[in-house]
Amino acid sequence: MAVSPASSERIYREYMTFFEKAEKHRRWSVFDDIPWDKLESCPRDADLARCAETFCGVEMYLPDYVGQGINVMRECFGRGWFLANWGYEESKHSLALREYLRRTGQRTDAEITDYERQILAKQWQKPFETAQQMTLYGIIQELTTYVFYKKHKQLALTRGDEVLGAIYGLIARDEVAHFGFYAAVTRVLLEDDREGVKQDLAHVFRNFTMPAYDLVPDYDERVKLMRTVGMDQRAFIAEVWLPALKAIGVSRTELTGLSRPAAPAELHA
Amino acid sequence: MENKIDIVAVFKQAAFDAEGRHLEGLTLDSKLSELAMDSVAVMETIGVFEQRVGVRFADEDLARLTSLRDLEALVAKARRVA
Repeated sequence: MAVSPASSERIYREYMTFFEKAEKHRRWSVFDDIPWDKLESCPRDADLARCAETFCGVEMYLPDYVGQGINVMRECFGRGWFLANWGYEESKHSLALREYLRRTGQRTDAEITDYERQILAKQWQKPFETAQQMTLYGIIQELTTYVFYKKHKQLALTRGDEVLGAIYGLIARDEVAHFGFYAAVTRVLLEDDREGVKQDLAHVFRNFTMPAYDLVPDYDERVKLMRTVGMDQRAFIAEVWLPALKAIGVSRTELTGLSRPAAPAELHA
Repeated sequence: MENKIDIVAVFKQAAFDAEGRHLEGLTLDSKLSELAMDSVAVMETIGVFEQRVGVRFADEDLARLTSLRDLEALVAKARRVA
């Protein structure tokens, strides 16, 4: 369903609010806002480096995320411009992580180049077709990513890595701001077509996977390591599912049954 | 006085109704994380469970749920509040 002109105008206003806050309060520099002077005192921790490399790998699909996403969103000014700004912010995430790996000496330039080659040899495909579904996907994906970064920030700081902790903190702040924008847009969409949005939301929740999960080399082993920070089923429900629904003003009972796999018969039939 | 509910049986039926899943060997000590269900399947099952039992759990309580025994405690709590 196309966004109505009135809703499109409201989404544009939401974008301007988001953008103003980003410009005035959230901008950060890879060069100036990361405490690179503390690199010497950071531990060389193989698990932390592996996780940083995995985050970096997922962020490296940026050309695909932007390329495919922006064409879906282009009919609505606010969403299209958001995606352009999103691309800028996300580009800093992989740059900061690359620099961390390189400057700590935990990966050589050759290793990073080889990793990049493996990453870009595959192409990410958008998981959902419509702008509305991709917006709903954005809510879950951004909030999940935020929770991941927040937990890994804590892990990095616990292990004495102040630099990586600072990077994760900056990235997490961006991710939760992106979540906030998608949630604001969704609240507008819900006013236009509550039933349709709920159907799409149930569909997106049901079919959600993290971006590039099937593309990053050795992903299964990597994600197992990354989830040791406590990102399990309970955390997903408590820290993503329920807060996401609360943010958009949809109760979980409104979604019950909307994405049911198949109509079952009797249990003991 | 409220009827005693067989939490395991109702949850088992709810999992089937919601997800078409046959959960074998289920007990009160079964952990939700060990049922090979993803978070959406768990939430769907709990939604159907609530409908069948006639209760509604608070989101903050659900966020702490780990086992069927916790679910039993939540039902008792919900009935006290009702």
